[in-house]
Amino acid sequence: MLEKGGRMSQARERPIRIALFGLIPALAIGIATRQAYLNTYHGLSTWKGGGMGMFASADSGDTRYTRIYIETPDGRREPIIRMTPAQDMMLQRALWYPKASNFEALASSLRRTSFVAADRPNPVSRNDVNGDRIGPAGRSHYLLNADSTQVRDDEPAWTLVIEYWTLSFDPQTRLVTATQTDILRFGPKGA
Amino acid sequence: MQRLSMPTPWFDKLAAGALRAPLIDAAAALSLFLVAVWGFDKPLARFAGQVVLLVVLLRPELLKNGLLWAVLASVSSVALVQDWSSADNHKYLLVYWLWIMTMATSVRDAQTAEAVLTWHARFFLMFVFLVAACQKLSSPTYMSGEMFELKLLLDERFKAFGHLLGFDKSIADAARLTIAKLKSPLNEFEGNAVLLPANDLSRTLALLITWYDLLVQIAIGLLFVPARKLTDRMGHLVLLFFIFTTYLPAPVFGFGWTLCIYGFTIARACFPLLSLAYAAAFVAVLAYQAPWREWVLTW
Repeated sequence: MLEKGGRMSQARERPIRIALFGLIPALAIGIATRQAYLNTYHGLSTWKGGGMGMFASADSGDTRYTRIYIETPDGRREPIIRMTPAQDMMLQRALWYPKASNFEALASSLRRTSFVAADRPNPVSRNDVNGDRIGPAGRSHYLLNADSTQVRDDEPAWTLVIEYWTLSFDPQTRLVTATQTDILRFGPKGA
Repeated sequence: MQRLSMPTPWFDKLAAGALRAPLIDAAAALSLFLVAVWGFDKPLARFAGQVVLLVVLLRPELLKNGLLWAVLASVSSVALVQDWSSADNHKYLLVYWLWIMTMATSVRDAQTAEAVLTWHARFFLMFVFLVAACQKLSSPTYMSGEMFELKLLLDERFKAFGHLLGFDKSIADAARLTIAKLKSPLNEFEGNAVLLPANDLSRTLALLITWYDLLVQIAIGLLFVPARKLTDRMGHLVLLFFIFTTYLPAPVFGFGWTLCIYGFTIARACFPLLSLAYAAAFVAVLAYQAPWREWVLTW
């Protein structure tokens, strides 16, 4: 009887012991596997998302960036150079995990934002591979700063353009090359 | 005849004193410190960590209260889920460890609690280092030395460390300026490419750090697998070497502290002196927060 009771107690304890010793390792392995999948197929950085890939890849915050423009109906593009802190957070999220919904959240916020710019446009320069200026590019931009004090309640006529860029470095030639990996456009509804 | 007794060495006395507290108490105190100092930045998670710290300071017996640990683990889990794709990988380790503390403080007997802690500490030491090593081995930009060379050139946190190793800080400043120009919408570059002011020293240093980091991580992960006294002792020595050398240049202090907790948890039962060495490692992680980078760069 006692032995039977002991066995029953052991049988009851088994799932508890499995949970105590196996649940967290199983969860950690599952999350790391998911991280590896998202890293391989959906661009999630190795540095983020629950793998153990910090300092495992050059593909990090230094090598992913965006250029964000407002494109007016006449085709002019003006870059946004300063956003609100909340928008900066959204951008960081999109840089680490360049999923469409992350960019959509940022675009939606930017399209409700008012921007201010200096009176004069800034000229664009052409540079050689050493970084030295070789002349004007023949165009200029008004640099836009988000005005966090004003929120738009109307639908702007402009299109928001987000260019997603990555950098690669060749240690032999010491050349850094920027590659535009994606371009996303968020226009007025129905346009 | 007078009986002569050998005096107990000072470090044995120190070790005995330091290790008098049960493992669960020590692990709980170290883990609570981790949450309060390097926990999540989200307001609710920060608030919960500070309140639990205050409660425990006023009522120390609550340090082993499973409910308090469940609250900390739940709030931290929510913070992690909200920012899962931009949270650092070691924040995941923090959340796992908080749930482990919840389980360890919720079981009735002390022996099971200690077993829960030591089993998970060993698992995570193997898991963290072996998975990291696999990711590095399969990463072309790591194995080529590209990753650490870019860190030396572009990462502000590595500027002082590189400068200490003889890599002039002005080169790193010039590299950052070059990349800022490349990223700027006010500049066009032929072929969207630019030369970085890297040199042979940056390349050599990057390759040395790359291989040091990889080999040490493989060694730690593998040495903790057999769970034998000899391999464990060697594993602890390599882990301590890693902690003392890595968290000086890499300011990921929460991760350093987490590794110290893992190592201390396993070492405490069998290796009193190594436990003391982990105590020194905890202090080192705190000391590495000093603004030594500014001191180095202003010399």
